[in-house]
Amino acid sequence: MHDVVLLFIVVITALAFDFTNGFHDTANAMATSIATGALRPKTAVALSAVLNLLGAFLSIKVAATIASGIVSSTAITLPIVFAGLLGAIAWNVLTWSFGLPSSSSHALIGGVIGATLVSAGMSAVHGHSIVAKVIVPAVLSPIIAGVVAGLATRLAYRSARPAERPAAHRYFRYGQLASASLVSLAHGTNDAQKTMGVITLALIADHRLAAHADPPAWVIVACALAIAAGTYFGGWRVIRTMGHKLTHIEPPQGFAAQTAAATVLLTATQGGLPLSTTHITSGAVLGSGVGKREAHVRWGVAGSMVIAWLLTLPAAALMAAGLGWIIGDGGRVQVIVVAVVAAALLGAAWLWSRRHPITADNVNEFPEPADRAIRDRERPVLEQAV
Amino acid sequence: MSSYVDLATLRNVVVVALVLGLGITLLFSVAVRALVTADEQPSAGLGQRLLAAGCLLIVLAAVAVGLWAVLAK
Repeated sequence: MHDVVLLFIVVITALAFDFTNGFHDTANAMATSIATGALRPKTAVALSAVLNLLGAFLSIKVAATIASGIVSSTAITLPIVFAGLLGAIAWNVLTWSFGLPSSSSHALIGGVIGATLVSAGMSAVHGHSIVAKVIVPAVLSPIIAGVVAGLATRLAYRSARPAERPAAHRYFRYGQLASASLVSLAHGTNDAQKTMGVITLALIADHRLAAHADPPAWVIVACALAIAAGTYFGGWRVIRTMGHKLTHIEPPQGFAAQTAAATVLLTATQGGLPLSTTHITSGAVLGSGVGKREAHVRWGVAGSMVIAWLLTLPAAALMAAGLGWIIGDGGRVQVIVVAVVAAALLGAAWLWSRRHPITADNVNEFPEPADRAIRDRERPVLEQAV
Repeated sequence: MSSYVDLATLRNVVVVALVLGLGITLLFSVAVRALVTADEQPSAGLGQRLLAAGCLLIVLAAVAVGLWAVLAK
C-alpha cells in the first residue's frame, strides 16, 4: 500500500541529509585551497557547489550499493528509512558544531543499520557486505590516501624546490584550483549517490520501484541540487579544522593532498565502493603534513578526529535505533511528531552554534606558525588572472 | 580475511592512486620548476616553457583518461 504523505516526509528528510552532507563536506575539497589563499572562501564554495552538482550526474554505482548492499531492501519500511536519516542528520549537525570532519557516509549507513536492527532484526542487515564494503575500506582508504599524499608532497618539494624559489607557490596555487575541482567533482559523484540510494530504498519500500532498481531521474536531479546547495552554504567550522588546525598547509602540500584524494576517490567510485570522502581527504591532509620536512602536525586534533570517525557509525546507529524504537510500528502521526521535534532541536543546535559564528569572513583567522604561508603577500590566483 | 576484502578492487585503488597521484604531482612539479626557471632566466625561457607545456599536457591527458574511465562504467 502506498503512503504519499510518509514518502514525502522521507524524501524531504533525505534531501535535508544531503544538504547537511554538502555543508559538512565542503571542507574536503576546499579547505586546503581556502587555507593557502588559492581561492577566496566564497569563490571556493561556489566552485565546489557547481562541481558537486555536475558530479552527481556522472555515476549511480555507489547508489546501487547503498540501495541493496547494506540492508535487505525487502525488509525496509518508510519509518525505518526516516529514523535512519534522522540519526545521520543529528550526528552530522553535532560533529559540525564541534568542527569535526566526521564521515557523512558512515553516519548515513550507521543510521540505516540502527533503524533496521530495531525494526526488522539482525537478519535484515547484510553484515558481511557492511564489513567488506564499509568497514574495511573505511580503515584502509585514509591510510592509502595519506601514504600517497605524503609521497606526493615529498616529490613536489624535491622536484619544484619551493623553499628556495617561493615563486613556485603561485603556480602550485593554480594547480590547487584544478585538484580541488577534481575532489569536488569526485565528492559529487560519490556522496550525492548515497542519498540517491536511500531515496531509492524508500521508493522500493513504498512499492513504487522494484528491488534493485536504479534511482529515477528526478531523484538524481533533486539530490544533485540538495548537495550543491549544502556545499554553497559552506561548513566553515570544519573548513577551519581541516585547513588550519590539523597542520599548517602550503600550496605544494595542498596540491599533493588534493591530487592524492581525488585519485583515490575516483578509483573507488569506479569500483562501487561507498568510501568516505572525509576520511580520504583528512588522511591526505595528514599525509601532506607528514610528507613535508619540519612540518608540524597537531596529533591531538588528529586524535579527536579519529575518535569521531570510530564513533560515527555506532553513534548514528544508536540514535537511529532510538528513533526507530520511538516510532515503532506507528504510522505517519508518530513520524510527523518526531520530525517536528527533531526540526526544533536541530534549529536550537544551529542557534547555539551562532554564539561563536565562523563564517567566510573569519574562517582563516587562526594563528599560524612563524613560517607563515606566502598567502599574506599574494592575492588569490583567480584575482591575479583578471 | 580475503572474503571480507575485495582484493581486486582494493589493488586497483592502490595501484591507480599511486601511479596517477604520484605521476601527476611529479609532472606538475617539474612543470612548475620549469616555469619558475623561465621566469628567472629569460634566455632559457622557450625551452623551459615547452617542457612545462609538455608536462601539463600529459597531466591533462591522464586526468581526462581517469575521468573517462569513471564515466564509462
